[in-house]
Amino acid sequence: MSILTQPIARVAPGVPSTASAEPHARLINLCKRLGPMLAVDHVSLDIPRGGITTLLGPSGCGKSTTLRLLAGLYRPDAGDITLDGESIAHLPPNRRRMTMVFQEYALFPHLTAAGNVGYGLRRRSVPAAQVKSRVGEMLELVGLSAAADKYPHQLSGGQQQRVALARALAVDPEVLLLDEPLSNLDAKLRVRLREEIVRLQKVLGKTMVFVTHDQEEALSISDQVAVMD
Amino acid sequence: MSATIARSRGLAAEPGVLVLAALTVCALFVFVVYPAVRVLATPGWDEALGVLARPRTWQAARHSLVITVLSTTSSTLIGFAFAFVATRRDMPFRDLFRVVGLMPLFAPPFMVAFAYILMFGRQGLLTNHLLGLDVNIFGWQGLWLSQTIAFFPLSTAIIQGVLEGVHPNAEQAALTLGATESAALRTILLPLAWPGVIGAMLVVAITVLADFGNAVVIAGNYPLLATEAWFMMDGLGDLQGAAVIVSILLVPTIGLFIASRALLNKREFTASGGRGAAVDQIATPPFIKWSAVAICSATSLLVLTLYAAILIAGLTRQWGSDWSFTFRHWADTASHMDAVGTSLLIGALAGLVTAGVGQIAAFVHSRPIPLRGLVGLLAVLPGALPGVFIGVGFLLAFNAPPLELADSIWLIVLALGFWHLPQAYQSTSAALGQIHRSIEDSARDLGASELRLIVDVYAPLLSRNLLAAFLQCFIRSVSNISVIVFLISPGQVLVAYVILQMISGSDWSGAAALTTVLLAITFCCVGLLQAALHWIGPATRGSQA
Repeated sequence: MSILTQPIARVAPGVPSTASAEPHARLINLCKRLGPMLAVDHVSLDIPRGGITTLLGPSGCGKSTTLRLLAGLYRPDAGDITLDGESIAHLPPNRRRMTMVFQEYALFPHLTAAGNVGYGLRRRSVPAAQVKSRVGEMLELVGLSAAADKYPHQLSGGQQQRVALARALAVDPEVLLLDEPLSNLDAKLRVRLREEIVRLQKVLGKTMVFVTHDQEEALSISDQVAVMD
Repeated sequence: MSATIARSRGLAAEPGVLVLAALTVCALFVFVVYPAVRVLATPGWDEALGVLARPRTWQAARHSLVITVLSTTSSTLIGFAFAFVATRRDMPFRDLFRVVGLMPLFAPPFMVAFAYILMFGRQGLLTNHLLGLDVNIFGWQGLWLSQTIAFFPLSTAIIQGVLEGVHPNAEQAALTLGATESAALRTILLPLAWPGVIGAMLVVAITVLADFGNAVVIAGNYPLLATEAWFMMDGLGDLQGAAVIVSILLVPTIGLFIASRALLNKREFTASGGRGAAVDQIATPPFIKWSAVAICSATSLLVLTLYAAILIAGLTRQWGSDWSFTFRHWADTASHMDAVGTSLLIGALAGLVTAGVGQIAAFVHSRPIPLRGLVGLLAVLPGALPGVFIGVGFLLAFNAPPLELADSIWLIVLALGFWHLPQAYQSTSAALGQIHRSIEDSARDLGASELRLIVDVYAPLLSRNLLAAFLQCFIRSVSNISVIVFLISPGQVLVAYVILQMISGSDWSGAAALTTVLLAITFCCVGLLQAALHWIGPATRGSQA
């Protein structure tokens, strides 16, 4: 369905690139068929370490599917995915050290903000005391310390997305995947939260892959933009 | 909810609407509140204490409690398995289980117990004839099995609704955060399903407590509150005693009813979901998958056995002694066609009452008028009342002046019509909320009076709903037992009653043949409903906002 062009733009060239010569993650000739549709058709892309790479394209171009292939939520029909030079295409999502922020946040409605943020740590059997301090740290990072005991339905859309960010970052992933994380927010909040994401990236130095259909959004936050059509 | 608020901002109600509201309140008072009050008020203190002093009353209460715990637990467990299989895309035989999981809903209320006697009883086709065993199925074991199979579809429906509300992305998020598939199901899906499971248990418990049909057929010498009330009246001629018993039965059913409504109205956990793409669902771990399939398969066999038993028994010369094939019993059903005809007439009239009153009550409830809350409450109240309570209530209320209906079919029609009101009212109310206010506004703008809206706007837009409410009430009324045993008068013959008499008179093949007729009518109605919904379909869908 779609072919990925080479990375076309390097935004903010003044910023010293944190990317080393070796890419952090690589997509190599990935293909994925969803039903009758070839959603991802021979996509290759190098994702540099410690920067924001954006997949930009119209809806239906396969960018979200590509992200899900990276996360391990879909298995590729062909091609390979490597992380630090090692193939991870065979690994289930829970062993990939990549976490994802979903378009609809996908917060767990029965858990508080703190419960959501601590979920991944508890799955890794981190001791309760450490979970608590890490959760506090993460909520502070996204400015939601006061909302720790609130349930998702008691939070605004922007707050929910911050919890989702904190939750994904709490387990200290190698790569953070963001699937149109801002599209359910109003215009003003969208700008604020995308600045927040850039700030978090700078503070934590994480490798991020960001999917969007919004060209301005892509250009304003990315270190590298890959256009899919 | 929001639609109601939007409407209440509108102009003050017209006099016509107020009159209609007053009439609705009157009707609900006469046919819901008044019979209930008569049940509670009729027995004197002496009478009440006398019944309470009988050891048998307490034995029945204890039995009712035990069987409610047993049947509710097993029904909910099986219901969960069916709901789980229906909502996971990677389940084998999913469509088959979906269909089989609905089939017990079409069985007349006595049929499950009857079919298991035919199959597993002392003269059972499977236990005795094929395996040579001597099994006594009468008693609590047989009742437990029958109620489990009869009522698990109720819990499937409720739990499935909740499971469908869980967004697949939540499970995916759990995976990316490090959970295994089974941990994701345990920590995300299961806690989110809990409100549905509890809600299902409450609804099933009410149904089990009120179950008369299965109990009267298979419980044997195991007194229960629902059957005890009938025994008091039919065996001892003690209507006041029966009133005491059904009043005792009312205590837990009202409590469970209030609890279930409170719980199922609190939807905050599931409301955040919305539906995602099924393809995003995570894979079901094999152990969980095959456990669920095993439970559903075993249950499906028991469900199919039901229908097989009725069909075979109706075509067998003499159950237990002469297994040869015959059409004689089918032919003999012709002699009961007057009973079938009366039942159909009663069912149709009761269906009209339910659909009509249900629509009017839902309409009145959506208007910004005083007493709308009362209408809403009274329209769902019958859902808390067991059939035997309704039966005793109508008998006490309308057997003598000032409102004498005895010996006319209207006594039964009104009892069944108002008893089935809650489903009709609730589905109509929900559908009403879906109709965009602008449709009403434009009709008003073009000169329609507020009352005129019912005829010109709502009835056509709700036709799908009204038809479904009518047919649901019709099917259940035609095969009803629990209400009619109290209200049937000596001259009347109703098909379900005739079948019950044949079962107790050991004319099993005749009863099975007549049950087959009842099933044929039921499935014809379901087919007609599907066809009709298909036919009305597009017009209604376009109207929804």
